[in-house]
Amino acid sequence: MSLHDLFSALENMPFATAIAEGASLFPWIESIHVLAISLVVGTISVVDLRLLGLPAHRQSVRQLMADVLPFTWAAFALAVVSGFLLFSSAAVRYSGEITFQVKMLLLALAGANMVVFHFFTFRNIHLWDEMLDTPIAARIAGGGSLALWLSVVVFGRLIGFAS
Amino acid sequence: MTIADFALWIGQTQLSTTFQVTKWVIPTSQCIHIVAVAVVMVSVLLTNLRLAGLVAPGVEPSVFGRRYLRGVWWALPFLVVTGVVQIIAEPKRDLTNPTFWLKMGLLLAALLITVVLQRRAEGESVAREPHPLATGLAWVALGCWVAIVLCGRWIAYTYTP
Repeated sequence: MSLHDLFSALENMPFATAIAEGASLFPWIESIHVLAISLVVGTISVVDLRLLGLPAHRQSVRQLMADVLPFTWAAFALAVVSGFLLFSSAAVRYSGEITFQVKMLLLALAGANMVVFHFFTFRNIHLWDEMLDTPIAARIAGGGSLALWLSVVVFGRLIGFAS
Repeated sequence: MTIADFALWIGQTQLSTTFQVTKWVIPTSQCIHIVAVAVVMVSVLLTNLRLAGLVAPGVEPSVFGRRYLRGVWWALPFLVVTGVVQIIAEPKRDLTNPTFWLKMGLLLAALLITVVLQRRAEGESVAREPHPLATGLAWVALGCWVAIVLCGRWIAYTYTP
């Protein structure tokens, strides 16, 4: 079974056709997706700006991440579910659009940036946790994350115009 | 002059035509609008979560108010400018749309509540738990902002050509 066959099967499933053909399902899911994305970008930006040396409600990066990231993950889960439902309504068309492909690539890069930060830069956080003058690796991770997530927003919006 | 007449007039201006034919104007303004919404949402969300005692219980609630609520005012000019661009580009879609006016009413309510909460936060100099009324107002504000985001997307679907 090719990817095209898989996506074709997906968009022909009852829930997918209900979203595509219904008057209000797609708008409601899309609205929730926009809300979820705004919460992901907003909350992750608090952490990213702290990594770039801007103060938040806490000096400690570890405590700030403990405060904020659970909400980031919850919003991200909502974004993934709503995004999947939107994608399923026209899976073949979306999968072929360059804007959608770039958005998925940017999401993967944002995830990779997070993994690199967690397994490398975060390991010696005890040395710089309370410092506003964060190490260069932390600033690269924070700046990279901000740039990637803002780009996700841009290409996500462009999908609508490409469609 | 009715609102419909005003929308028609805007749509016939050179600026409106320029915005409509220049492909990057509407997508760019919408992207900036979404990012500004994200700034507002996180500002209101974090302040509200602290007022409800759901995050950082060891940090004074007023710290959250002072640190984050100003984000609403920083984002507001970007929201206004990009919103005006979108209205000029597609005046009938917005100005004759009840969903747009619902969004504006919710925005006014949310901003008024933010002023009240911010003044309260900046006036507090000792660590204490917030008054239940402040917590309640914060939840109402968050609800308003969520509804504003939903209305913002629904404008495109409730427009009658």
